[in-house]
Amino acid sequence: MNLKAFVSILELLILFFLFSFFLLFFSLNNSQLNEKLLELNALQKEHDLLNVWLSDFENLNLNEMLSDAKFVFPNKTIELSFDDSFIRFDGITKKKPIKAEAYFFDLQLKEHFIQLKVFLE
Amino acid sequence: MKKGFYFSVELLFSFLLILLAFFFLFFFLSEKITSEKKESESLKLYLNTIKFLDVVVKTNDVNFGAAIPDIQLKRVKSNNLSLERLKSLNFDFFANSDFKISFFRVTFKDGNSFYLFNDSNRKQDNCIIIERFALVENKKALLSLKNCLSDSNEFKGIR
Repeated sequence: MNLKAFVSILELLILFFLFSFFLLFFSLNNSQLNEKLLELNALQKEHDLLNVWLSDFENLNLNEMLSDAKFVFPNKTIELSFDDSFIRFDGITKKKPIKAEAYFFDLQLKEHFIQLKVFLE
Repeated sequence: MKKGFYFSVELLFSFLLILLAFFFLFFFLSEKITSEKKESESLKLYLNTIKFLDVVVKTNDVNFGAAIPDIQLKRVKSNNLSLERLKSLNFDFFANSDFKISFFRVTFKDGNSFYLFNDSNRKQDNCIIIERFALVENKKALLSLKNCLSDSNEFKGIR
C-alpha cells in the first residue's frame, strides 16, 4: 500500500470532518437568538415597569413596586432597590438575572435610583 | 498484475473514504439547513410579535399605536395607553401574513381581564406569548399577545 497516498487521503478526511464540525458548531444558531429575544422581552417588561413607576414618581412605594413586579413576572425571583431600601421576593428561579436601572430627580432636584433585577431561570 | 491489483484496491478504498466523508459532510449540512430553516421561522415570529407590541405600547400610529399623545410636550406618553385606541387596533393587517394572532388580552392588576381579539378556532400549536406592562386608562395592566405561525409555516413549538 502506498503510504503517501494513504496519508494524503487521511489528511483529506480529517479536513472534511473539521470543516463539517466547524459548520456545525460555529454557524449562526437561531435557537440562541430566540433565547436572546426572550431575554429582550424580559428587559422590555422591566423598562415598562420603570416607565410606569416614574410616571408617578412622587408616590413610589417599595411594596407596591414589588407587587407590580410580581404581577408582571409571576413566580420569578425578584430583587428591587430604591435608594437605600432593598426588597427581595424568592420565586422558583435562581439563575440568569436581567437587570434594569433608572436614575431620576424629584421636584426638589434630589437624585433617586431604582434597580430591578429578575432571575429568569 | 499484483501491482495493478494493489493500485485498484487502493483507489477503491480511497474512493470509498472520500464518498463517506462527502456523505457525512452533506448529511451534517442538510440537517443544519433544515433545522435552521425551522428556527428562522420561529425567529421571525418572535421578532414580529415583539415589534408589534412595542409599536402598540410606544407609538400613536393610526393602525397599531395606542399610546396617549401629550400635546404640550409634543410627544406620546409611552406605556400610557388609551382603551379606545386599543379597541380600534387594526388586526386585519395580519390576515394575509405568515402569522396569525390567536389572542390579544388585557389583564388588569385587580384581576379583571378582557380580550381585544380572540380567535378561539385557531390551532394552538407553534405559538408564542409575548407580554408588555402598561397603564391602560391609568390602571396597571399586562398586555398579552399570543401569535402563531400560519398553517403553511409550521415549526416545532417553543412555548
